Amino acid sequence: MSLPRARELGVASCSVCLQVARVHDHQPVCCPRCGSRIHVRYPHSLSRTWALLVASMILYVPANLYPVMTNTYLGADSSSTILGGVALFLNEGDWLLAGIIFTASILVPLAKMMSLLYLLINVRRTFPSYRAHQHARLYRITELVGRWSMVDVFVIGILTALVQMGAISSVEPGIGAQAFAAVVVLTMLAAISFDPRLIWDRDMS
Amino acid sequence: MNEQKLMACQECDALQRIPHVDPGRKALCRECGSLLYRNPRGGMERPLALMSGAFLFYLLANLFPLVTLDIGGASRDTSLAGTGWALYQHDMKLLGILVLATTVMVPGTLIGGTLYVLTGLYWKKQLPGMRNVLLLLSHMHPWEMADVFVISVLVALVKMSGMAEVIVDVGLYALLAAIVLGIAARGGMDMFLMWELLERMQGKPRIADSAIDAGEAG
Ligand SMILES: [Zn+2]
Ligand SMILES: [Zn+2]
Repeated sequence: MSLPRARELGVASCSVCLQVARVHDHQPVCCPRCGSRIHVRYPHSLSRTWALLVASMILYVPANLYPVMTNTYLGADSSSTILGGVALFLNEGDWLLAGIIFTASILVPLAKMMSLLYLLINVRRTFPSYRAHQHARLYRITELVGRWSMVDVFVIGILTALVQMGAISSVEPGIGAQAFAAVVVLTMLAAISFDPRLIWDRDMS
Repeated sequence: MNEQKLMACQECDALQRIPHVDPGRKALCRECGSLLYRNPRGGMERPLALMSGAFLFYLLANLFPLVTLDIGGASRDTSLAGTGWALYQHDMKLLGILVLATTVMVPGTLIGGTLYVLTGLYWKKQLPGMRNVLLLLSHMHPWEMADVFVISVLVALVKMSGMAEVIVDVGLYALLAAIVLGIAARGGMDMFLMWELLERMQGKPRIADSAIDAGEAG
């Protein structure tokens, strides 16, 4: 590292407005510009991220086991899980939609949980700095893509609002949708709680 | 006071002089290469005009239905707020509130709040609570999902097209326009520079204001 790091010089930058302020003994101070709390590092970043990640992994099980919606068509009920919804699109030959739902509902949440897990496990290890670059990029992507997992939840909401034709056809949301939305929110909170500066801290010690 | 000219990278914590970049260019961290801030081309007029357009289209998107479904003569439509509300009514209260927040409340607050701050900055007028609005915008940003919602509407349309006639209504076009204009407006502004402008604007406080500022800083 050629540039000094803010922490070594006893300063920290505001995570909201990027104002640099002096901090004493790692005590949080109020940002002179925007009034947010300035932390040298987010407090308890790793344990918070761990807790949120584990909670999301636990909820991922009911999210996939329970139906996300029930469709009644001419008196016959059919419930489908997330994976079942993808299979339905595939059966109908809708490759594009199957791809979108598979990516948003299965690939993205799994990749997100895996990458957070990977970052948490490796954050204390020492690596050459090119690895830190890769880890930082992984974190940036993880933070960006998370919200796209909500596609399936929104689709279920739209169908619930529209398909209410009594005996002909109607759609009811399933408990799996609620669990899945909780997984998305928890993984987003986990990514927000993770302090990316910790990735670079290990180069120093 | 030389701390004013410094900036610490949000990702690697490298302390550096705030690099000056030409309009239309990005300032990158000299250590890790992540984005520090962008200096958008042109002044405040463009994001202000675009965000005003986004605001109008967003209002329209809330006033008109998004899609209409027609099954054998029985038709039903839904609005933007209707999606979250439907989930809420079908015994998914938490999920309904989450969908309402991410598709209606947060996007609306972001568009309105950004317009408010841009207006104040453009006319160099201190509007009440500008600092708190800008603070709110920074925290809300990850929870804005109107764009994800539009993709979801398209997916739902294709899904329903097999069993019924679906009609795309004015509301969906308006929502799409609001999102595109919002993205374009955000491309012409930068949060860090907005904080800088706001601070510069508040930099010469009148006698009455200075006491408040000193109180806030302490
Ligand atoms: Zn600040
Ligand atoms: Zn950096």
